[in-house]
Amino acid sequence: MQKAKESLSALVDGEVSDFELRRTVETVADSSELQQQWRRYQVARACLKREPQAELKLDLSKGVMDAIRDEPVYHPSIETASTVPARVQTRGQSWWRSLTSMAVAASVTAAVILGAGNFEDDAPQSPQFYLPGQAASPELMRTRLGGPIAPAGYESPDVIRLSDGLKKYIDQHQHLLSTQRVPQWTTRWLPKGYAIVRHELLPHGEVMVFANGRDAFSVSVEELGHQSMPEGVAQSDGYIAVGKRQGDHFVTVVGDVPLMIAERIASAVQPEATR
Amino acid sequence: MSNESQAAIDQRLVERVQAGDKRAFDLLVKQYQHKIIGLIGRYVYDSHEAMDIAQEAFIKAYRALPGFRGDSAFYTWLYRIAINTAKNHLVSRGRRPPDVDVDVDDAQYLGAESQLRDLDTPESSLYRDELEKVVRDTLDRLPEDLRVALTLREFDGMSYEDIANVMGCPVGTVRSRIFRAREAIDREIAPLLES
Repeated sequence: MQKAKESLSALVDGEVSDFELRRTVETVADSSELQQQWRRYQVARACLKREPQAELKLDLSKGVMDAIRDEPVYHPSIETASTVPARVQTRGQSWWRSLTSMAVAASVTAAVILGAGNFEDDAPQSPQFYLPGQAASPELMRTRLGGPIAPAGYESPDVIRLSDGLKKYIDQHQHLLSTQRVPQWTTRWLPKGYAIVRHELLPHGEVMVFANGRDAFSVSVEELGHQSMPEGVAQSDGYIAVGKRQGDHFVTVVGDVPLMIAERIASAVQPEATR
Repeated sequence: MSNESQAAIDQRLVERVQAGDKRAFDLLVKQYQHKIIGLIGRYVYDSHEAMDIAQEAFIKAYRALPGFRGDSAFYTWLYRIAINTAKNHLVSRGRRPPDVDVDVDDAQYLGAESQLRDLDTPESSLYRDELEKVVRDTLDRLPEDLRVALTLREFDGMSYEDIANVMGCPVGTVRSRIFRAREAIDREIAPLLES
């Protein structure tokens, strides 16, 4: 709760990443305590600046949110970048929004597992759904969700033909949708000034991202057998990657931090239950 | 904080709403409701009436958000919606709206000489003054590092990075100090606001 409150304070100042903004909005929505804390932060700020405000003990927001509960949910256009960025969506099409959201989430998760190198660098601006894996496979077709035509020389029939190799990703997708999990891992030591800004659950592990407002590093914890690198150290593009085994799991620390710090972080990773 | 930086912060929440997250609108309502009620209170007599109109204004703002391009600050845009809603309400009740509107930049300077009415009762005015005193007294009693960090943020509108440079500490420390300062103030005002 303290971390959520701190994120809320940073949100007051606009000093949050887009991810932290999204996560904070989600967290606040589930906590009346945090909602009232946000309200009080605004009142305190206005008091400091002697700004006019009225009816300080009352809160209109519940009435407003109840009134707009049945209003359409907005979503950005998925056509071209030049079109209106937001349009009203009818309630009957909300399933489409859910499907595209899950598809994007699955593709992002696959990128985390397989590495960003599996995705083309020259992806077009508008959102597209890329299936990870062997691009050269005749069974694998790239499709789009309302986006522009794929790069010249590539014919997209807007149809996916599945191969057995893709079943793993379908299983992964279903796992993400069905499993009720909570974060299992944490770290007992962090460099000064760093705080967790992201914590994602993966089918076979977790990934945490820590930042201090300027630099960042990520910590992945995977079940043994699912990691994509052996124990050791690697360095590329100014980033350090340290991988080491921790019991039945494999910890990987990646970031623009010194090697000694990365190793110490990796050694400090532990299950939440032992904290 | 400068109006420009607040506008940028608001715009991020607006974009969350425009991206389909209604919950971000709840934060915007909580952020501006008291100012909007105070503004509307200059057009209508009754506090309950002012709150109803304020609620209506926020609902209208939500419905109009797809068309909000960010050409003006969100609060300026909301401000106009609130004034128009208040004036329409008066017209629908057979009452004449005032000839003079409250300009968004001047609203904070309006005093008793304004021809527009004020929701303030002596009791509510006293309550607000007491709250302001508690907030400022708490700020004055804070440890220096917390007080300086919050002051640089709230009154000078500095970014966390700039404050870090001024105070010679990491950005994460600035973030923590400002949070602890706000927590200290919140502990003092929470009982007053929730009573």
